[in-house]
Amino acid sequence: MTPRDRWWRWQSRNAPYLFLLPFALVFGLFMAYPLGRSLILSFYKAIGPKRMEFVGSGNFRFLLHDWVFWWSVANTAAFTIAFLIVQIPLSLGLALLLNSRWVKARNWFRFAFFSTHLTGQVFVAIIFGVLLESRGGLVNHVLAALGIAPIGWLSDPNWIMVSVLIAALWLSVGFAMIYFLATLQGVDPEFYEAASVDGAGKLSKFWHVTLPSISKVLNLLIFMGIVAGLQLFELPYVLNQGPGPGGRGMTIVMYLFITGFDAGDLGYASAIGWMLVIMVAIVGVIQYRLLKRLGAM
Amino acid sequence: MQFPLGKAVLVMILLAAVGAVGVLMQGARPRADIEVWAFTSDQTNAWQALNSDFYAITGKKMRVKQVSTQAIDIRLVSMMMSGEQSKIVPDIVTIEVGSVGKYFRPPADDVGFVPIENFLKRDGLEELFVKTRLKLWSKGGHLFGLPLDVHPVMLTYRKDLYAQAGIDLAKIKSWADFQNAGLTYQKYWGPEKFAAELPAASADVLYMMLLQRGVNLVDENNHVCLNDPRVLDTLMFYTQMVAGQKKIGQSAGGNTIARVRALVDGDVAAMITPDWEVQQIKQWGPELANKLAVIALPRFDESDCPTSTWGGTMVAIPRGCQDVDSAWQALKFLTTSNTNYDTLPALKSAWNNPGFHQPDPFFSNERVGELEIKLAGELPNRIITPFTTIATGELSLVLHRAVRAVQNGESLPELEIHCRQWLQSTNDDVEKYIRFGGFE
Repeated sequence: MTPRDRWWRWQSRNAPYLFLLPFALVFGLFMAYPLGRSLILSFYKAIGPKRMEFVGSGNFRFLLHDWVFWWSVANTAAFTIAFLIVQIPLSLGLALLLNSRWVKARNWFRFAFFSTHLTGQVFVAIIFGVLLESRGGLVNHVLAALGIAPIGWLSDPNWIMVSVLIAALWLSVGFAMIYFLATLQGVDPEFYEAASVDGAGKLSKFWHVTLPSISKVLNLLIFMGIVAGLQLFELPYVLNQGPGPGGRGMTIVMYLFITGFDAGDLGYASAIGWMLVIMVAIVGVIQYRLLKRLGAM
Repeated sequence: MQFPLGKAVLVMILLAAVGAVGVLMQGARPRADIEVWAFTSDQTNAWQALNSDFYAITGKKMRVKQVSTQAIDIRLVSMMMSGEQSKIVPDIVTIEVGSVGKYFRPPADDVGFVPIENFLKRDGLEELFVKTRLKLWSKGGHLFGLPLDVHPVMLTYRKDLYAQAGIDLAKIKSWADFQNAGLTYQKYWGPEKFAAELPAASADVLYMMLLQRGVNLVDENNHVCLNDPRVLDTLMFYTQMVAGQKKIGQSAGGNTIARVRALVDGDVAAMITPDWEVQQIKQWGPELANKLAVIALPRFDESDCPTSTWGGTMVAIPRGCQDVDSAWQALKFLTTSNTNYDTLPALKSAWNNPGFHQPDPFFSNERVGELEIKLAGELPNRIITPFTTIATGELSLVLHRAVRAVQNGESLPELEIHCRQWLQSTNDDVEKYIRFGGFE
């Protein structure tokens, strides 16, 4: 075997590993190691290497009785449910509208609705902070012109999560719309023709043709919405400058951030992070099983 | 010859290569002898102006950089946690009072700043600074930073509007008098115009009132005081100022601009003002010139302080600093030099600055600076522990519940029973957290 043959052989055997190496290094350094380290930290009371006390499952046991944590879970769950209830129908409606041949300048509208998703969450929070300002904000000015009393969007504890919801919807409806639109464009027109031949009306076609065709994307978007909802942080944190009045804007990740970086309790913050991972996993499994039982997977 | 992956990829690779070469050639900026991180632009500019004087005296070069509060916190916490002791650690940093709690979480010997009480004693500087402000930046008998400011709190009010309603607020002494005056004011101006700007969903002002009465929610021994009778009494009183039949206060939103504009529009006629907000009132409410007056805070009892404190900044030396003696020299120089002050400094000799004694045309020629100086001498003790933020947050929640109870028509005796229960349960919660998260 010549050296050239040996070189080729070595290359063909090792090339896949060499191609994977950069990813493995970056993933190992910035994902796997911090994940492993945070798991270890979650069993310690820690404020740096000099002060680490092993507490076993102490952080997790304290978490189970920490009402601020459960308050943040309830708050986050309420937001996620409200978000999905509004986002999915709204984005599907937009997608159906912009898939219709009767709408002029469809591409322009598609881009316009999607473009909001290209904006960063912090930037959106700052803009909505200005728009929803109780005294000088545009929204309250418009409401006043309509004879509606000003709303304390960012100062009234009952309204602050509604403000976050509005900003989150502005940011994400276009994104979900693009997914629906792509799927709708892939539905074979013959299905609709066949349904018409069978005498199906518009509603019947939507129920028996459109919905089954988009069910996989619908499931994906619901799961993505749940995960994004559970990870909600930047929007409320910047919009309300923390948990907001009466702590009503507290979310799970915000509590994690405050515990880790404001209170400096990294061990407990890691435990909160791992509890969130467990929650996402449980929700994912429940959703998967439920949809499988309903025949949507 | 064609690039196998296409022109676009080739252009991206070339751009990345040029960028990388540019970054590598730029190299790191040489470090100054003293690196200072300050979080406000005013402070940065004021200290940058002192660079040449410091060089002339010590022969050392100082560089003052503006770094945001959040960035200072995250970088410092990372450095302290990793035990970093290298040239990347700044020699001097400014820390805001809202951030300092987490630095005080370890036992005093392990706090990430150099204790400076011995330097202070050695150089005879103890008497130069306001005593209560030195206490604010101390833990376990060690002082970890020098105070930059005092931040006394006053009551600013629309003199013109109160006068039209026939009320002279300068004569009131107690919070109860203030509430009565407020009710008279609202009777005159109608239900849409409130006598004062007071938040109902955040305990900021309530906390200041408690400081006035000598109550720190968590004391220096990590003892929680939420079940102190004075907390219940103040909470009950404050709740009735922001909800129910005797309501005289309304929130104008969280930021200073909104508060000032509410004052301009006459939607609220008074607001609790720390010294740093005085400049902002002038900036955001120029229409208020000659319409405002400033007085000391009303009190609950004769023994209470006539002021409180809101905010604060310390200047400290991180433990990772490589030349502590030079850093102390610079710290001493920066905190004792006469610069242009926007707010009242903690350095008492600077109070002789003529700027603090001139009549202020904006406030109908009142000497606001002199009032601030007078109040600075009567400032209450404020103690910051790692658990103070938690206790204040929990107090906000109790206040929110109490306000809702009053809005739902709960009677005073019922409210008192509930508030006592809520405060006790909150007290237990914070104590539980201290037992769980504390290191002492």
